[in-house]
Amino acid sequence: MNCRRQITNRIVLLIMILLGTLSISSCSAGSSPAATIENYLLALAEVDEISAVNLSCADWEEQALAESASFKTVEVTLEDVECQIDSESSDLSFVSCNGKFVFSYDAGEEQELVLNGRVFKVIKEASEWLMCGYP
Amino acid sequence: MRLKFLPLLSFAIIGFALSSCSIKNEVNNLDPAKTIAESITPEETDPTSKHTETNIPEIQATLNETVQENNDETIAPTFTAPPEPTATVDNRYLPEEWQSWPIIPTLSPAMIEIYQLGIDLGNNPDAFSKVGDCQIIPEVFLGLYDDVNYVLPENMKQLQETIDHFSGSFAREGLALKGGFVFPTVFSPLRADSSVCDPGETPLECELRIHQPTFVLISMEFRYEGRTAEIHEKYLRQAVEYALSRGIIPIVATKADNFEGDHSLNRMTAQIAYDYDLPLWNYWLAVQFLPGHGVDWERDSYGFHVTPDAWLVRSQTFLKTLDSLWKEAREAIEGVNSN
Repeated sequence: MNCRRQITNRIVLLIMILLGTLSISSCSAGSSPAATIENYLLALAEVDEISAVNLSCADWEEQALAESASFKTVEVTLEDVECQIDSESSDLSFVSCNGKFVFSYDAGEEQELVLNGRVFKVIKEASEWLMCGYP
Repeated sequence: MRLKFLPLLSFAIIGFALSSCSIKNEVNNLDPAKTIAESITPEETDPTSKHTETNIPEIQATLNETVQENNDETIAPTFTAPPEPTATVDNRYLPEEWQSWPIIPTLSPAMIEIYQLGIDLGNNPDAFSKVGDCQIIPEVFLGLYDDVNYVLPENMKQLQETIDHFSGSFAREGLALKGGFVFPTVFSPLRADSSVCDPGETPLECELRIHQPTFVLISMEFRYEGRTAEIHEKYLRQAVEYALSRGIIPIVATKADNFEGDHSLNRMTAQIAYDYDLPLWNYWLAVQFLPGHGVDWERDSYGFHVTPDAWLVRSQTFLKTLDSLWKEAREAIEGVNSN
């Protein structure tokens, strides 16, 4: 009986640790500049202001709020997004992406925001790659 | 026994993990104003200042006359401080009395200076811009004035000169105007049209750089989650200060709806107009004579959209606003040049 309880507790512990790890990974900056921008764009599409700010450098936090809030009035989907590093140094990187945002406004009118050609500036702050604007 | 507290420990780990997800800064504590217009600083609101006349417009369906002044003098206070010889009496309308502000505004001396600054900076005196949402897209607002087949009503013929002068700006959608836009959108570089805007440029910056207007209508009405009078103030001040820094006269506007329930957005807009001495186009007052005060309650239950009649009033009263402001500016500049 005791042994069964121990096993149950261990399973619970494992699940909790797994969930905790998932929680941390879902809100941390990307492990690479490209992943950071992909996560940032995803946060915008989900109108997740907290994640958008957490993925931004200090100087970009205010703009991240505006960018996220700008999606509040439309239905948004992010399609086929894939980002790659254009250039990179130890603490600065430039990233470009493919894909697009598709907005549905007022239950019908569709608008697209194509990401091709846009370059994102990513910097390393406190060992994390963070979105820091557009060069 | 040893493992009895494991679930508890696990919850603590998760709690710690999630706490790291909390936002870095409180949203409302962030300072938005990065660009400060150096040429104009808002005047401090003097709570003791009081206009000495009321100006209650009488609305006429034909919109022949939009403002009829009623010069009721206020009763002089029983005690007055000794007047200072150099002080100027501030007889402007107070922000809390925004419902009585005239529909058609006039230009303050400060704005005439801004107009001159804009001309000196190379702004186009024949152009105006619009910054806003679906309430001011050309299909429902002003677009008809760029239609060569459009004929003004007989009682508005005097406005033809203004239509001719600003031809091309009426039906122009521009880069800071689209259905679904809200104030944060025009400050988001990601939302700028990358085919014409510079990298990092916001839709607002892009529009004013490319069109180089002398006037810009700023009218952001579409509601969104989190919009408060304070947030509205933050963005409107930021937009106003940016326009002023480019020598462009911002025209701000009241809205017909009262979605927020206490008219706090219109009140805040009037406060900003007062602080910077801006022209305020009192659209709210212009539609009060219409059924439902111009709000189309059949279209939506929250009272955002306006009726077709209110659309027409909107275009007509803004055209009169533009006519009045442009002619005032022109006369002031010509007066200076002829002296």
